[in-house]
Amino acid sequence: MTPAERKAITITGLTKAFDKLVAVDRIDLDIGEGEFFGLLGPNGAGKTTLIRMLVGLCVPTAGKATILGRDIVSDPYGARELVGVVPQDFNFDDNLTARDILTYHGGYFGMQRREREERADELLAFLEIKEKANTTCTKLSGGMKRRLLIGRALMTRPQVLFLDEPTTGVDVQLRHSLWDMFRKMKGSGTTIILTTHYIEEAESLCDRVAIMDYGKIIALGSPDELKKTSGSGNLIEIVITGAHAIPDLKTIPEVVRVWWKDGTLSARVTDADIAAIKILDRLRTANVAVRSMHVTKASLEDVFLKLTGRELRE
Amino acid sequence: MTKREIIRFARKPNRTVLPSIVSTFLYIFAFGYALGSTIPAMGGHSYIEFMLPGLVMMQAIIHAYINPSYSIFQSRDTGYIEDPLTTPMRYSSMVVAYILGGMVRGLFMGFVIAGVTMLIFGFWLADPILFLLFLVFTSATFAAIGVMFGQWSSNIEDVGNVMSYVLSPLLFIGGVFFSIDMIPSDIVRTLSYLDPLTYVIDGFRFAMIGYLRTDPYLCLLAIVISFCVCFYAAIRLFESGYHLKT
Repeated sequence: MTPAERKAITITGLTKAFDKLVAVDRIDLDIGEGEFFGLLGPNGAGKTTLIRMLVGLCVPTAGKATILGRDIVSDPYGARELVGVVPQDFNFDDNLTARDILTYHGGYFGMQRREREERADELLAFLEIKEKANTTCTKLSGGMKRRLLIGRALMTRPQVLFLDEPTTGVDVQLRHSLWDMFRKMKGSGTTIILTTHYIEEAESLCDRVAIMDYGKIIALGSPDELKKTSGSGNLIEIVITGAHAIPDLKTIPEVVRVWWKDGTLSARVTDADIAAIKILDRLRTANVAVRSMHVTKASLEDVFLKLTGRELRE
Repeated sequence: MTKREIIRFARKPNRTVLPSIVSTFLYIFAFGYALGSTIPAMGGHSYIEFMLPGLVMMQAIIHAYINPSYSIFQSRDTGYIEDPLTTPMRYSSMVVAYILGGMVRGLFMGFVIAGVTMLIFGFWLADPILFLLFLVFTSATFAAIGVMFGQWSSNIEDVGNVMSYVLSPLLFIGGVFFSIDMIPSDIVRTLSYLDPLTYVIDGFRFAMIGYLRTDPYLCLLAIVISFCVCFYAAIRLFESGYHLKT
């Protein structure tokens, strides 16, 4: 069994209801070891509630979940030994310095003093905030706080890392730097569960993505699979010079629909790259002169739009 | 975590312990030194000597309560509490850490105020071991109460109101500033007998200046039992996750 085939997280019928609101509705999900898994959905979809249940901050109403075989309800302390959590918002103790925040967190896990100090030094250097080690967290910039939040979760080298919208509100430069950091963590074998409503984040980082809406998973697969299975998201537009007899493109397996309007041939396709090559090949064979071609690839946003009829950031 | 609880007040003494030390010495000056000279001696002790154990205990109780209650409330408010709650640390260990933090603050206040006043007024403890035991168990009991109110309170005012509506009346009718035998009203005196702090202050007064009113060992037993009850209740409330988890 490869690491990806071994299950880091197994969720069966997990449900959380707040009075009449069902925030997480009977979710079944398996996440493999070493997988970078994304939970994508608009605000209120249930992503954060799902994560809060897994890390012990929210009590499930029904269902079961295990983290590397440890049940989150019957063995909560055992399950929490294995995880690191990066919450959405900064939640530091204002009395503590950056170094304290790391070492105290290590202490909560029972790390020995020397080990805590060494690990904190290592992380402060890795996160490029070493010069701020003895500064209280209230005096750190937003970007530094975001790094420190991630560093705190990494103190204990967790086997499973939960990132709850870790790049919300950060500038583009820092976002890309954090993405590089997450990729390094994945490279070291950490299982990562990321919640986000940034499409590009999920597309860029995740092996698999679950799209959530109203507490349910409405689609699950790799970003490419989701875009393909959603069908007609990719659009190819070809401007043709002069009047020609257009060959039949509908026989190309990747083409879903073709239409012609004002000198532009448009096609909805499942796989844009393969479809584009095949369409151009047919047009060349039929001696059709192509002036220009434009490919608009489907995004997970299109997938979400198609599945729910709403945009992600509504 | 205990270290963090101690750092909370130790790093900012001018905002945490110093104001109370200053106000306690103002109490000593106003009630003990100025007014006290007009009050006759009680059991062979001057009024200022009689009052000091109550003042020491009052500050120990208040500070033992304040430290965990505000710490937990603020941690809930800022979300910081989610950091330890997502670690494998047992909830009972967290409660112990909060209580130890409060206890250290209570003991610190007790030692500072008792130490300085003993130097100023030139007397020594009647029973140092009882003095220490009373301070330890009373601070721990009120720290456990602080843990519960820090968790239970829905807003910051609730945390402070416990001091105004519960602790202060209990301290005052418990005889911080006077012997309850001096109370003219039977009803108020009966209330004093029902106030557990009456026995704490009585016992502590014996330990500090040797003024005997109630058997100090019975008083000590009462506060040890109170601590056990409050400790158990604090752990059960914390483990229930009330106001901590959704």
